[in-house]
Amino acid sequence: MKLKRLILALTAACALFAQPANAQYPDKPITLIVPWAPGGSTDQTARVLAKAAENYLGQPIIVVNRPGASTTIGMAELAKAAPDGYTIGTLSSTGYLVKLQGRQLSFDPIEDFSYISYYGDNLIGIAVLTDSPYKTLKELVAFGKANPGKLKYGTAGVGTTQHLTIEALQRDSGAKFVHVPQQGSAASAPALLGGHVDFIMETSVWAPFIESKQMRLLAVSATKRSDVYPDVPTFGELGFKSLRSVQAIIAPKGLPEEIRVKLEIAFRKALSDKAFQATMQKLAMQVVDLPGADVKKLVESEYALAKELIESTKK
Amino acid sequence: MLNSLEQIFYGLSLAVLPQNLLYAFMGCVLGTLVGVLPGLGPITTIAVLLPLTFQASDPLGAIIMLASIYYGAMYGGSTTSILLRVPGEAASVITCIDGYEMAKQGRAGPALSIAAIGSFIAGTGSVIALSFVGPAFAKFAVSFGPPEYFALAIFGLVLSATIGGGSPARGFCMVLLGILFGLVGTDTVTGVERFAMGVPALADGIDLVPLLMGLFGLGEILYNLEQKGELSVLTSKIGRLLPNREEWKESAGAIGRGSVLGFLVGLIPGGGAIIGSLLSYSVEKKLSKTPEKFGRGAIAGVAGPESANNAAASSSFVPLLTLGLPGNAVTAVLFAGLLIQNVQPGPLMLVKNPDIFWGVIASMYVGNVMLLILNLPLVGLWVQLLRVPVWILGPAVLLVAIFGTYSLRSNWTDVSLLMIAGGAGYVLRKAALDAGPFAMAFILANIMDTSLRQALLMGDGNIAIIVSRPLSASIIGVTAVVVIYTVYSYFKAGRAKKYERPDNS
Repeated sequence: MKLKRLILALTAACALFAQPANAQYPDKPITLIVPWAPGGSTDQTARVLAKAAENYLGQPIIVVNRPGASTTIGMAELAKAAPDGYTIGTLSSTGYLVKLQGRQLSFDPIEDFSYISYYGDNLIGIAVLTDSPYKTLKELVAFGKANPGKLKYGTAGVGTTQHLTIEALQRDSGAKFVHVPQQGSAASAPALLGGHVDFIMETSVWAPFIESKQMRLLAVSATKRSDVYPDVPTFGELGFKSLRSVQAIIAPKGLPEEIRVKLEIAFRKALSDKAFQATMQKLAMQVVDLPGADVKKLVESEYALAKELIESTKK
Repeated sequence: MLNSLEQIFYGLSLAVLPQNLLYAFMGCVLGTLVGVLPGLGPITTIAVLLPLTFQASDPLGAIIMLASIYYGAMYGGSTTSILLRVPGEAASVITCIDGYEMAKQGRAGPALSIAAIGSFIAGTGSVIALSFVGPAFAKFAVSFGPPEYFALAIFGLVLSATIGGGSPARGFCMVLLGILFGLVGTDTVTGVERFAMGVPALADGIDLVPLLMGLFGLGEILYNLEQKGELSVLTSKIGRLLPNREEWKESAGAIGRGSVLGFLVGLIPGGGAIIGSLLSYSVEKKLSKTPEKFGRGAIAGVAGPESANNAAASSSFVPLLTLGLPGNAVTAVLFAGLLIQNVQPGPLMLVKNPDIFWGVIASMYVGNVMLLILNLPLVGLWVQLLRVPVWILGPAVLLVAIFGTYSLRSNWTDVSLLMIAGGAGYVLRKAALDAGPFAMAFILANIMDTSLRQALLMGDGNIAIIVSRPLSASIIGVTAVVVIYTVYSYFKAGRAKKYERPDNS
């Protein structure tokens, strides 16, 4: 009985304090859920970005890692959190692509979230060994068309942005390659180095080998050419579609608009932070600034394209 | 050669700087500690410390510390395996088999000492090999493709059936069961979930740490709590701390062979310390004049695997530093640590960051000496743990195991798994079935499954790819010889005589 009264009193007190808190959000630390293990590209970039955003919010942002099950464990936790602006998270394309694998999720990966801001794209590219006969993407596609199923390629896994972009390439060019899914991006580089696959479509795991001249980059799937590889054309320039590797900041659905705007302003201002830009550069990622409303539209169109591609591969 | 020497001295000159010595020492102490505490392993520790290195002004010091946590945990991991049959970390599963038997016979001291000494010799030997021929071995690492991994997994599965003291038939059944459980999770090739029953935490498969902790540690504690009254848990006599002459003789070869095997397996990304210790155990059992002693307290069964997992921990730095390929979960976190410090591991690291490359390697010489000095005197302290009654020790270990498991991913599903695995471990113990083959098969199942499917995709659906590549064909050949030899000796010796169940009391 006593306990019950105490709980009631506490709840009342919380409610009392919560009211004015809303007026001057934020008045306590904010938790940022990163649904990846510490040390990965999202973790590294989100941490520096959060550090920069702290300056505009006046409160510390605490990064917590909730890895596992292709980000869905962390995303489920975020979806269930109170939409009060004190729990936010990162969104990667993996989070919504996984639904297309037919996995049962406890949340809707698009509708159950509010969209705060965008921060960048992973640079994904097609790499071959330096002694490979293919000098351009065109030559690779031509060979794949003339010799269907002869060339094997590796990606981080089935249903990833990397895999679906090659599916799009095959569908639009008529070439036919065999997908040998690897267990994560890190496994793709040795698969190519050892000659176990003919090319890889990957995030920047090829970067050190491009530099050591063991691998050659044929094309990148980005909206514009990378500053680091200005000679390498984009998929778009060559007339092929590619999916985006999304990195965004989101919150649970129902986040009050004035709080969302405060967060959006802080996180978009943080994009100009030097340490953040240096980290993005180091990981060969591109900084992209988009308003929250556009992020949702982007995610929806990416999801629709991925869905279309997956359905076409099943035929 | 001279050039290498020069570079090692250059590295040593960096490693012995006071602040770097301090970093290495902190890492060694921390590593030993988390290695000893069940459930807490090097992965969690390094991952937790990683964000702290963001601000570190001295990249070499930060990396020296993270690396020393890794190999320090390899030293510490054997302690609870021997004393309590709780693998401190995954690579020490094999050590549980004979180490724990030795402790029951009052030989915990020699077992712990030989584990520390073997680790020292293997660790140092491996670093020496690393300094001179390491970069050249990088090519060997990438020659392992899906067909080779498949062959290696099959080889490992065959060996798994024969570890432990039971009959190969019982071992074989446990291997099959292990494969079954190892297949839980998302299928790499189709992306479809298998046996995950809609539980998100199972989408990545059953986590290894709670499984091992439950199956071995909790199972054993439950079993012991049942033996009420007399403290039959472990004999209360403690005996010598150092091995006697006979034990030395039995261990010397095992340490040497374990070091070489561990070094080679550690070079293959994805090979890792666990396969190294499994291989070493099987080799020692096959070479031994008294194979029946294995599973009943053979010191070579502790010395070999413990040397192998330390050698593998050191040599896994070759693919990490020279190719930028993390071979296992721990080196993956270390990889991130290097990136954070603006060091790009890979083919150009020797050119661009020679100070980090040689500094880290040289610090491993220093670290191994520290670990030996740290661990040998501790043996006397650890064996005193055996005096603690099981009704105090049991719940304490349980508590640490729960804490450690939760700390992995802050996930309660993993804690539930720990409990279920504990119950299963108890049942296995009662039924006198070995958990060792189960654990090995569980680990190898994923490698076998994925690599077979990848190999078939590479070979356009033709299984011939596995026997047409020289490296995988040789591994398959050796496997066939082992199978034939095992079956042959099984029938020749007569099953009743040779494979009598060890007394389980």
